[in-house]
Amino acid sequence: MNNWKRELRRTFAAPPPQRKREFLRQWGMPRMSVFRFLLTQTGYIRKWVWCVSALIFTAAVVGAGVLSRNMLWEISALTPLLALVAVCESGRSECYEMAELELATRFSLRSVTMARLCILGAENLVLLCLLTLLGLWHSGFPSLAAGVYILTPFLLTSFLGLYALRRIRGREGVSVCAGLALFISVSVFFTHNSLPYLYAESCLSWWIAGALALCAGIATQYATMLKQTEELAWN
Amino acid sequence: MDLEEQYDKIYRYCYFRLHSRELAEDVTQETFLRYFEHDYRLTSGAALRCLYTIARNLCVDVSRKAQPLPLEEFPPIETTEEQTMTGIAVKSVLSKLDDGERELLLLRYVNEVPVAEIGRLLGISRFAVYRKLLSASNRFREELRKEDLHE
Amino acid sequence: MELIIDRLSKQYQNRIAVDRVSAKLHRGVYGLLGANGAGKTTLMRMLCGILKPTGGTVTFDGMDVSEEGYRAVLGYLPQDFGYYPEFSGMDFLLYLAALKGIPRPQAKRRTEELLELVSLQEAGRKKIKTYSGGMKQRLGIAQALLNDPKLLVLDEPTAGLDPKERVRFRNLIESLGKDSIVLLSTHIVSDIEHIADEVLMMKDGQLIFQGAWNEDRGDLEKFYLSQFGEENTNGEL
Repeated sequence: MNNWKRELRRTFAAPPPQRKREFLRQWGMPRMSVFRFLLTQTGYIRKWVWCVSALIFTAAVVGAGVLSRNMLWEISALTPLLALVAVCESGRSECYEMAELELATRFSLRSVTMARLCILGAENLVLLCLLTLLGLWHSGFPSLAAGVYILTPFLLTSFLGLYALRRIRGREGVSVCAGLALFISVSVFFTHNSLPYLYAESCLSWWIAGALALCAGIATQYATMLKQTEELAWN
Repeated sequence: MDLEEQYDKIYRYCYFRLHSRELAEDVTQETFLRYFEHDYRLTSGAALRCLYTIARNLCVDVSRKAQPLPLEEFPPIETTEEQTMTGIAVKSVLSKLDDGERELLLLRYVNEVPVAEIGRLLGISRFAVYRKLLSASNRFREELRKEDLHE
Repeated sequence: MELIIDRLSKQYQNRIAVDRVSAKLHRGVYGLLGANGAGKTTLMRMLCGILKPTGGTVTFDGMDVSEEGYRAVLGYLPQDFGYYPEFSGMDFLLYLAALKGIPRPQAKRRTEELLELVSLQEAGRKKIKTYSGGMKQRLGIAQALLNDPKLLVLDEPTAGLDPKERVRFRNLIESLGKDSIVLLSTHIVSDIEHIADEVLMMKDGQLIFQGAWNEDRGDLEKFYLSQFGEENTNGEL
């Protein structure tokens, strides 16, 4: 039925303008707002990052909600995976040698890395809060302890992963990160049975101190990483 | 506002009023230069109206000075043979419409200017725009049908 | 439109890669000649703000190389570039358009235009993994043109192009040079012989020649060979 409209549009086809490009150039390219930029960057975060988060969350919901089990240890063992995914995503341009191109664009690599960190950080924060609540459910631990037990493996993996990724570039760096995450995950799962005194109330202050130290460590790692993205590493 | 998109549209509008690629592009560029002289921020509707008003007035000035080519003498557009065939047919359909009808159809259905803005641009009510659009599109379809029967 | 390079230097611990290079570039095509290791890539990287100079400055129309405004008018093709493995040619261009701050509708239109310009419209939706060297290089050139740059820096842009593509590329560069500053590096004299308005020649980090090359200076190729010796260039000629 809209056939005639299509016909009409074809009728009004003008020959292409000849001097458009030079003329429009004097106003420069339109620019994108920071919010739009964040939004487009969200689109470029790989799907499996969201999938991993969704899977962990579903596992926790099913375990705690449907099966009414104490999921604290399972959740705490799964968080290194979450950290691994986030760390790898932040180091992606290095891995695929796109950094050189990304450094020379208007929103430089620094903004891209920062944008990805903000998006992933926000997502992880929300997810960890939810996971803590779920882990708390049937655990019998006070909420602070549950939060710290869940957070610490995540922070440890993030810290070590970032350190490794900065030192060892490219795909090997990613493999090392994966190894680290797996190791932490497995050890968390086994230590709560074999070394129960680690999780005694008297040790809690050590856990908190450790978690805080790791937070500081991660902050410095990210700062160094951002500094590194200012300039291409000489190879 | 997407400058490039509007450039294309204003250029098309001017081309179909002036029937000359060179003149149309001159007027288009002049339109944008004048538009950017007002540096106040406009809502998208007002910006469109402002652009078309400038372009329209400039076109009137230009065509007063130079006698426009009749529609049949349009320089050929580079297209495939098949497209050219329908192109010619369709051009002859266009030449059966009057200037007002052509302008209206172009503004509404090709450049997709909102009806309210067309009304303000032409200084007529929204209702009048609808009425004229309906009759213009009916005429166009009728001529198109006749053209099809010819072939 | 003026690019001012003022005593630009880059020093690494034990060697000087670029040594006090100064030049003023205006609209036109500039060919940067030099053997491998002469410092061309280092110089170009500094002009693109991705390496920090140890001395000197780079400014384009008064904007320093570190400013966003500078990067906004810059188009850069590195000697070699990677891509995210899941990207198609079109994704790649859209991604870089986003980093260049081009809003989505304009980016889409520009991407289509550029894919056509470098004759990749058919391959645009295919994964870059499946591209030949020449196709990838053409994609790289398209990427550099996304933001309609006023300053275009191309590092060995003809690498991997076949003779037919080279001719097309030369024509493209010539037309781009009409309203931008185009600086391209190469070690193949014939790439720039006829299209460069000016030749810059680099040896051991220094500019040893700068200016228009006309017939009465003799054969550019011969001069180049006399400067760099045959062993460096034989393989490429």
